[in-house]
Amino acid sequence: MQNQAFNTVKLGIFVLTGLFLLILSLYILGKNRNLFGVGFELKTHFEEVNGLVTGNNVRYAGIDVGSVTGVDILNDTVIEVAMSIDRKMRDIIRRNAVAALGTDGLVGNRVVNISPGKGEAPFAVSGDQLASRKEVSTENMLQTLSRTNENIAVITAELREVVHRINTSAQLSELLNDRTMSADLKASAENLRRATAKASDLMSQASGTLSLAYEGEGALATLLTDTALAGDLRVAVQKISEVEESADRLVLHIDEAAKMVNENLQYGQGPANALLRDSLLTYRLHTTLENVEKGTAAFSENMEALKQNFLFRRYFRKLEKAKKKETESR
Amino acid sequence: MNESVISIRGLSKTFGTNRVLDHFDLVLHRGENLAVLGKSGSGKSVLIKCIIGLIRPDEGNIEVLGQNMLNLNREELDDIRVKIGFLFQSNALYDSMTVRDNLEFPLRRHSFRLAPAEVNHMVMEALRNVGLEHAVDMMPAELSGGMRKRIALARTLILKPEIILYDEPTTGLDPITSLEIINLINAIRGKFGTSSLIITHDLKCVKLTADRIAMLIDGHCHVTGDFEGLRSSSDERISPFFS
Amino acid sequence: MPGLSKWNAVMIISKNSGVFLQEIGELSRFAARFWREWLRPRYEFREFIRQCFVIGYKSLPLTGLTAFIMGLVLTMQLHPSMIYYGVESLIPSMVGIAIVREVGPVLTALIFAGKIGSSIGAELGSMKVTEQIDAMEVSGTNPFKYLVVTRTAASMVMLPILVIISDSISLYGSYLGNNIYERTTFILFFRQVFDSLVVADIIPAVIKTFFFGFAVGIIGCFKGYFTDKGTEGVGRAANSAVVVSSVMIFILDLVVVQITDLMNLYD
Repeated sequence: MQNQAFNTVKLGIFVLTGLFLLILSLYILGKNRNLFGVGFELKTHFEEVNGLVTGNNVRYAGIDVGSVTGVDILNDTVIEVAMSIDRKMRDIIRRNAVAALGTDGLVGNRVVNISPGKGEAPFAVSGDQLASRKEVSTENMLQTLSRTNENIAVITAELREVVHRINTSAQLSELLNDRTMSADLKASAENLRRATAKASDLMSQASGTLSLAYEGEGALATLLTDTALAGDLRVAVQKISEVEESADRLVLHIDEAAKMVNENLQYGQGPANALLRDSLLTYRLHTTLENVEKGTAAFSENMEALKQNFLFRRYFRKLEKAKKKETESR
Repeated sequence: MNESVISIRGLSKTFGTNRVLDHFDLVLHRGENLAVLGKSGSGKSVLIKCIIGLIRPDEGNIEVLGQNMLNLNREELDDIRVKIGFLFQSNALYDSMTVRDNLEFPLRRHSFRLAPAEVNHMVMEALRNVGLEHAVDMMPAELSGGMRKRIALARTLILKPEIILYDEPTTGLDPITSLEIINLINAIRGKFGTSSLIITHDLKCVKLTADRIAMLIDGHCHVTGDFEGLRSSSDERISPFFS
Repeated sequence: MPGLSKWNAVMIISKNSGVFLQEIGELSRFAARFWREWLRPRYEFREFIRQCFVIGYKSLPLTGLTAFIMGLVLTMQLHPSMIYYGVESLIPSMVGIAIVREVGPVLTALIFAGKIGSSIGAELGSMKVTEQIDAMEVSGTNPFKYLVVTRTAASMVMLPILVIISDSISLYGSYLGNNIYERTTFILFFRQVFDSLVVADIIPAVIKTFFFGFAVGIIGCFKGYFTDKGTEGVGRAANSAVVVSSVMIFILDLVVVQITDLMNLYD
């Protein structure tokens, strides 16, 4: 009898372990699918849902927050998707959030991605309908990629032509490579400086004369004391001073320009070359081309894998056969 | 004093094409030891199993203690079975239980409300009747053939039945052990006054236990009589049994 | 004489199919009797508990070991192919689905049939040939209730529990197998397993194990209960109990998969 009681205890442990594991796994699954949590419901409309079914996940910023509870056809172009969202998200999701269809990985389950909208909006409440965005499907992506590819090909061709023309244009390269230009510029700057120096001399002389005139008498004095004349003269002097200042600024600019030209001449072979030598631009171009190449390679690899895949093998074989038949018939 | 406890009328049973019992008639009186003698495979075991309700006959009537066994429902059948002990040819001890549990089994099953001390007392008393009190906590597999037969007999006796059906009680036992069993059968009748139906083909057993002998030949009761009367019979179908 | 041999073949086939059909019919009646009797008093509760212990608890080491090895090996075998397609991160999901939906229930049920089916067949068979079943009958016990109902009910209740525990052990084995090749945390592994599962994977799987348990129990009891021809019959009863219940498990599995497929549960 003692033994029997002990066995019963063991049996009890055994049974409880089994039930515990069952309930635990059901609980985990239920939590995954929001079976037990009381969520709130949001709705959205799509034109098409691409195989979305009840139970698919709903994500907010990539985090699972709920599941699809219903997919109903409202009319020929509108499909209403109802979603049960974790209650915790009531203080996160705003009414202007946008729902979009997505895929879990390349070939995974369909998901609804909710992303925050722009600007302020009140928090979403149960029954709200969110705006939807047309999904970016792999097919669309590939179509866009192919268009991008074509564009890039055109651009590179044109670019190459432009560069070639720049490089081969004699006048342009002469103009750009002309070393005398900077010398001329320098000379003109020198001239200007000299001119202003002269003007300055003239001014000091004039002022000396003027002071003499103030102090002295005679014809000049009277001439000079004539106020109208004095006013005219002052304006003249002011103008001269202004000329001096702007000449200064001009000299500065010319100096800078000369320096830059100098530098260019020293470190590069002219601005056209420099344009082509812009390492960032060339690097970007290069990587773009590389990416395009990689993309196409990966795509063809994917296709190859798909062909190998036992699920699609038959389909592809059929395709091949059809092709063969076609060529034969031709 | 000639009250019948078992009366069988026109009992027939067919297995496939083999008509084992063919309008068999038999009466067992209170307090008597009746031996049914027959060849192996002549339907003796079928007869006894029909009486206890393990096999349903094709036709005929079986009355035990005034009740028609064939018209009873399960509860009524169980009630009447309490009054009938059955000693199986192969003892039918439950291998997975100790001797004590084996003996307690019918007590517990027949829905008696018994205190544990009372149960223990009844078990020990039954074992004392067969002289095997020391074997109470042994498993059937640890017992010898004779001991098993006695334990089986103790299990039959524990409900103090009015009728005991013995199915080949001495088959497969050595002469000394069979003598012990024969003595027990007689002692039980002396002590409890039970009526017994003994199915056997063992002459010694028949001679020592039976007041009356029924010959089961070709599916029906060929003749009844006492041992001496049958032994001196000139019937060519009877004499082979006694030679 | 080709004509005669052909006639003989027909005779043998018709005779055998007759035996087969008869057996199916008897088994069905036996199973029906189980359902008729199991709810009626009196209840053999103690014996039921005892059988639960013997049938369920004592089978755990065996089914647990095979389940562990199965999970481990399944993962190791899958690994090269998954690497080939570069999707080795899908191993937990694949193994999870395989174990919970199919491998766990069927494999455990087969091991269970081998262990319990044969032991029930042999036990009841030997009880039958040594008249213990008859002795029960005359001791005021309904042997069908005491032996058949308790054992069948016990195996029906215990097998699902065994399967659940074995599934868990199997997944743990798979986790260890996965760790041979790459480090995965326990939590990540089980997250991936559960992410690929839905409630509709577990419930039908558990329900079908009830049927498996019933099949093993009832077939073992049937074979044992109708044993004849002495000790040789006992061996045959044990043997055919295992064979028939193993085949039955596959048939039931097919039926259950068809039904759940029709019900479109795996969405």
